[in-house]
Amino acid sequence: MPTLKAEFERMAQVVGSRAGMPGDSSISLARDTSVFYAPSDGYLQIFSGFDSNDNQTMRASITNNGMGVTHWLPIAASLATYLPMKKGQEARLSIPDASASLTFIKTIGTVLGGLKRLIQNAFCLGGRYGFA
Amino acid sequence: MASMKNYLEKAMLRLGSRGAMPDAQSIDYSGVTQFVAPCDGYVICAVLAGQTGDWLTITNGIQAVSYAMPRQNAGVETFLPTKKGATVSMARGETTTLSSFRFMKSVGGGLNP
Repeated sequence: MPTLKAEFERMAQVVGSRAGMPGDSSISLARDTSVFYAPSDGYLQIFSGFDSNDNQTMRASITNNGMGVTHWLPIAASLATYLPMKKGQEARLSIPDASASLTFIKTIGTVLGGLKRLIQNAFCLGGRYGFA
Repeated sequence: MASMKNYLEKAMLRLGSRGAMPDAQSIDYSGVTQFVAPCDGYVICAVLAGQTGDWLTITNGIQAVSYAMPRQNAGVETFLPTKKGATVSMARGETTTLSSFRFMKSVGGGLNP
């Protein structure tokens, strides 16, 4: 029979996995945004339509840890990519083309109310096992 | 002194973070261009360009990744986090060669609470 610890670990992994996936709630940003602060945990979705000026570079990175995405295209083409961010992090963006669009997609856990909800769920499980 | 809530919060974050990482089990979808994600996980796709300007786009209904390739034989491999039940679509240039189109479950994604 699984122990309470094993059950808790399993449940937390399931909830955590789901919580980290992109949810249905999103925010559109101005296309000329150069600095962005994540209002919650989520994904910064970047679309950039490189025009006929070739050899352009798109870069987005998180300021405090340097994690980022960089794409260089020697031809006119479109590009879509994303950057995971945690709440409060700052990202700096360098997107060359005016046809760019930027969207911030909240994670499911954030939409649900984040940790508070997760902890409530955990206590529900704990209650079932006489833990709380 | 740390409260029960503090311990629980820390444990949930640590285990949840592990739960969201990619696992080793995957399903091959190279025979189709659209499928419904069977659990939480990651769509993985790789193509090889047949000519300059060949492209690849994958979407999960919320997010998208799209790339164009600058020359023949240029390769692209990418991934997209996707929740259970989301419809995944893949489109690519006509002359691309598909190397891989699969769904990899996250560590916690295939379990039932």
